[in-house]
Amino acid sequence: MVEVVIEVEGLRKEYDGLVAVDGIDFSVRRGQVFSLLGPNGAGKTTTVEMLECLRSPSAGRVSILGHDISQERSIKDRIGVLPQGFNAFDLLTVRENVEYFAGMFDGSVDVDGLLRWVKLDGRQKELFKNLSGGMKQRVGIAISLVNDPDIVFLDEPTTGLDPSARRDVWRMVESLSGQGKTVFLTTHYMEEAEVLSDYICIMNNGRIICRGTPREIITEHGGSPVAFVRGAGEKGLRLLQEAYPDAALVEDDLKVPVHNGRRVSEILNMLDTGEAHYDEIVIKKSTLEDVFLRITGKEYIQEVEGDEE
Amino acid sequence: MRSRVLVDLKATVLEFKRSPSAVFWTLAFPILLILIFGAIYSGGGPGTYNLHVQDLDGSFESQQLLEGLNASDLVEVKMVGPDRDPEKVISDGGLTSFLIIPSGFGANLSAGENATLEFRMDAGSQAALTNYNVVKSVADSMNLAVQGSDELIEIEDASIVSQQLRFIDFFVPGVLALTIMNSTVNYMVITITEYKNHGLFRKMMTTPLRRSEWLASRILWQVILAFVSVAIIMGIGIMLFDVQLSINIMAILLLLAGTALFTALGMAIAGLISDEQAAGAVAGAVVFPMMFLSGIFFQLEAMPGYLQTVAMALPLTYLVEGLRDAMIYGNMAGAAYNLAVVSGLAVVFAVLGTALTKWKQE
Repeated sequence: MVEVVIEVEGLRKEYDGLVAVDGIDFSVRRGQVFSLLGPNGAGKTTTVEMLECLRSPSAGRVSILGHDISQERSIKDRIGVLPQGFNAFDLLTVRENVEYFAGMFDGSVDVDGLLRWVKLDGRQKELFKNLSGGMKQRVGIAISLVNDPDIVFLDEPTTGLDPSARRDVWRMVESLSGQGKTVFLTTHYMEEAEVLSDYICIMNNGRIICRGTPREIITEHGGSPVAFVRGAGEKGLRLLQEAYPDAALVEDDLKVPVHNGRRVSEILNMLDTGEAHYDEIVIKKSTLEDVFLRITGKEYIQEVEGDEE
Repeated sequence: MRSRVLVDLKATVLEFKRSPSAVFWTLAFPILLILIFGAIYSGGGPGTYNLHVQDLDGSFESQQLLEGLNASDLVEVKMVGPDRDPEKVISDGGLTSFLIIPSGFGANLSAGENATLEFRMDAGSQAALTNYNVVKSVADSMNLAVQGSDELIEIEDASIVSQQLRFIDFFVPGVLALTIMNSTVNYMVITITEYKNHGLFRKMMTTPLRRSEWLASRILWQVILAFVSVAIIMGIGIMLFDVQLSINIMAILLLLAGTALFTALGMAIAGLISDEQAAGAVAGAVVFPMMFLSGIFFQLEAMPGYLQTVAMALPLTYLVEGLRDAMIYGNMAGAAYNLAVVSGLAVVFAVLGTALTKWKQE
């Protein structure tokens, strides 16, 4: 039987009359990588902070590992948290920081093993303030595991990191999932959610606007693939317009939805017959970003740094 | 179960050790204050001490005594005219010792009767003690010369401590109070605003650490730091400047209550103002007037009336006055009154500070 480790019903949060989270419901199964996805200000961090016992809900019910969120102590013992914009003690070393947070929980932890796992065993004597952004996040992930938690909450774990550091974090998330831990990820990076998640809820304006596995969401909401014929220009559009009335010109590129039995080879034939010039043809499948655009009707804007909700 | 308070305390000590500015303001700054003011006001180091003498006798015997004193390398005799009021000379000159040769001194000695010298001294002053010993040894040799082993010359000493407290004695309890205020208010304001703005409280909140445990650890650290500072300041005061202070239960209670009061005041400031820079500025605006208006550098009585009224509204005034009552004057009733005021204020600010230092966000 599948065990539900997080259950949320009618969760709502208001600040001074402003609704940040507007009555959402979802559940998370043990061992899943669950992602809450959405643009800045969607309500993701407010939601996750209510699950982490950092904020009180205005209404609704939340159960974590069978405990109501009023039972903070029982929950805190069994969850690990990497908060958004994680920081530790600047003047303590990597090891001292991990030992400090380990000391907050009953029971013991293999600090050496943890530092090895996040690949910081060689830098354990460095002061936290001297570490790069990527290394600081790795310390944060190590700290989120000091109590061997059942659920690990990672709130925007890769924001502000360079691509290589981001990939390191992804590998760690995959490894946690491999160890059977439930990972609750909040991110505004669509690609990250698509690569890592077993299940996704997309939030916008405090509500969940769609949910499912990445494949389900794209299949259901993403629409058909699109052929981009680069450099085909006006001539290409004239040749295809009669057979493909939904073909459109974006700058000098032709954009032709591939659906209803249309074949890319047919499009190329028509262009070749009409002696139209083109540079290349690219078939693009829908992404979560396209899904977001289709559902909300607005562009998904990502900001790299300093994104607080 | 291991103590989360001790885990936090260990981290606090490590952070302190690695923060040069914290070490400077907490330990080095008060030492500098003591050294500078001690050098300026303690008067004379080892070497020659001035001995003021008023000769009301003008006899052969009194001249013999003065020659004996002049022969000593330790003192330099300064003569004071017979018509001058000794009290006024002592008070105007800030003297710690004063020798009077009374009229009839020579006549009594010649007649083989007891002759008395009057020596007024501040028993807390190294210079006065040295002068006393020199006078005593010269008197003893005259005794031997005049009458064999019989001691005809007696020295009657009168204390001048209450009239002439040295500035350094007066200053040290003030520096103790100032150090406690400075280090606790600044420490709490900087730590709380930094932890709040850098998300450390948010991270701590995700662990079983309770806010009360965190506060207990930080208050405990401030108490330890306060007592280390007190030990260092008093050690320097006693060793270098011969400061005479008594440590008693009332002084210890005042130091504890003062630490609690200013820790709570720092919490209240940091609770009201979230921005690190702004909170630091407000802490400065609270600490600096107290530094200068609470009678640390000047006696309250020397200030204009309206400033005395301001001083009476400042919490530091009560800690300074209480410590002086307990450590210098031995006025335990006064110390108890000041302790009650400091403790009362500590409770008020603790309630306010605890209410304002929120971890959980709304």
